Amino acid sequence: MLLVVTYAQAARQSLRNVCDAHEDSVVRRFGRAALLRETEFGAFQALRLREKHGGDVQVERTAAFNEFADAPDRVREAARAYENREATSTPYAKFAAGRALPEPEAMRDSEL
Amino acid sequence: MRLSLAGVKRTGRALDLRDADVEPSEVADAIRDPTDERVRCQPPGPVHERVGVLHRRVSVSLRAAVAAAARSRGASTRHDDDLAACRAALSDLETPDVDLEGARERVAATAADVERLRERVARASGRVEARREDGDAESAEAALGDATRELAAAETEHHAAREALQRARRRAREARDARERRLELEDRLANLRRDARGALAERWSERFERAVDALPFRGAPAPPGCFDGRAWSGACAAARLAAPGAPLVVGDDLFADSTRASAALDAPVVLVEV
Repeated sequence: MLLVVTYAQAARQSLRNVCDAHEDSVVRRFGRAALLRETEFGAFQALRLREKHGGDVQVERTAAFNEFADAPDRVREAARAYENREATSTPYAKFAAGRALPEPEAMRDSEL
Repeated sequence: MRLSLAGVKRTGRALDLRDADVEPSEVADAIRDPTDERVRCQPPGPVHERVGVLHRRVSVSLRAAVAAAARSRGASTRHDDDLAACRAALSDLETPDVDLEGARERVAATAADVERLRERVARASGRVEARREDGDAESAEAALGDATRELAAAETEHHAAREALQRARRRAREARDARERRLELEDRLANLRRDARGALAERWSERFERAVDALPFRGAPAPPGCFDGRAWSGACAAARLAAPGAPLVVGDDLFADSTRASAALDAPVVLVEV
């Protein structure tokens, strides 16, 4: 999908107008941002906004996240184990220590 | 004021321009433009944008007009310090450019070069294989060597372009932080202005009602937020409250006499035909 984020009042208003006028092309709206369908028309609208508002419009292309393909097993398992912990007040770092789970710092430094 | 417009020259506080062929907006533009020699008068205050032109087809936001009128008389609100701080923060904020178009284009172009040269290397390599079987591979090998060297150069170029784009993206992220801050300040400013307008309109509500009452039009006085009389009579009442600085441009569908218009609106006026 195309993620369009706006950084000025005028750009935000233009994005709202585009979303109102072309609901078919909009997947989701969030205040000053929106996800547009990944079609030439979606790209056309995103580029129109950028042409009009320059640096006040950011356009990114998003990809679906498949945890089985995109993240290592240990990360998936750590998330599951931590959310099923018994003591809800335990911070993750403490929870991971002593178990075979990745440390938060190690995960921070590892790009997917 | 001194006025020299459409072949008419007049001086005074209440001028009758009904005999001149001019549009109200043209007179208003001349009044508001300090470099326009056709009208010499006091400079207009911000309230002039709201009530500077009055005729039966005007549409004004009464609360905003009354608030602007109050401001023109020096009224202040408890939001003013925050407003000033917000404006100062906005004017101090620098929002660097975040244009990455050139960097993106270079990455796409160098990627296309790499792709094209990879295909060329593959073809050249195939030809070398074929010629070796014939025992005459020299020129094909030279072509493969050229293609391989060009591919290596293109890959270096592409790598550099990607790194440049990544650096530019990091810079852009910081620049967008500043833009985000600016948007927050703009939204805060808009909220503060709305609150200040509301406070002023409410505080000047009774004065507005008295102004409606003082005008030579029929209309039930009411606070600006719930005034249901004619839009133009509300606008005239706001104008009467205001100290507009510059003359008001008034249509002859509201007043038939410039002196009476000036007295009713408590301001210098130019009466024009509409």
